[in-house]
Amino acid sequence: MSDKSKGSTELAAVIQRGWFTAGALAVLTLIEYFVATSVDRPTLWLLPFIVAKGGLILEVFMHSSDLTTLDGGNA
Amino acid sequence: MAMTATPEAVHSRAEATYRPAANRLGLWLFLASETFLFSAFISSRFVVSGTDQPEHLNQGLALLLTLLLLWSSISAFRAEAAMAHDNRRLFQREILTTIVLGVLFLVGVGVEFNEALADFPANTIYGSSFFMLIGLHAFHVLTGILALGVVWNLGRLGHYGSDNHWPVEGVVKYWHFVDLMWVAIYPTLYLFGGS
Repeated sequence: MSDKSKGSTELAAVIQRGWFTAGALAVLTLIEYFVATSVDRPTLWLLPFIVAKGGLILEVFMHSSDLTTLDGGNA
Repeated sequence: MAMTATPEAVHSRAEATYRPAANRLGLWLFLASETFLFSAFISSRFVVSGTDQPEHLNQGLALLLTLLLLWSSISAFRAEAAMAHDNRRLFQREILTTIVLGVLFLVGVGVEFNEALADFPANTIYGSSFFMLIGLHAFHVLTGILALGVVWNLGRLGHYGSDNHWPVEGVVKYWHFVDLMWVAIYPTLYLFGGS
């Protein structure tokens, strides 16, 4: 496999991971909205959604695991 | 005779090795300080008005704004990945998409401000938290859009490549941070009070 096609395959894999994450975030947001509008006092019910969505953004989009390595990593 | 490296060559190699890590650490420290700022304003909302919220919040618009910002996050992610793999065309397209979505978000915030001012002025208890938090976040979106514009222009001029794209990574990380703050602000202002 040439370097160019290998790079394209890697890029497609990274982008697919991004789409899965965005899909998960969208689903979590819609469930969060549904819970908030159907539960009487929803504060505690909504906290897990904030943690889950924040964790996904930090890990997948912001590469927070860079902090554990000296040389870091890229998308 | 064995070749000896010049001090300049050693310095240059050390710079190339450690600079990216130092840049990343610096950005994370900056984002941590920003988190403290947002946390102070988010907590003030609960201090001054608990989880109470006005009845006339535009929930549909807030949900739309959330999904817009989420969409901009995936386009920013694609832009960074594209530059990391030397795909400049995709990079430029995705950065522009992110900018457009950011501008749409700001337009939506403007509409929301206009509606909200009629229902709860900024000098009310809830209004002060609402306008401060949304305004602070919108200002960060605006600065993110400006930074994305600079990176888009420099990328268009060929300043970045797969082995030299730290500015792209930094700006995109900042953009994701703005999204991350909205993940906390959205339920704080619109959802915790219930239906």
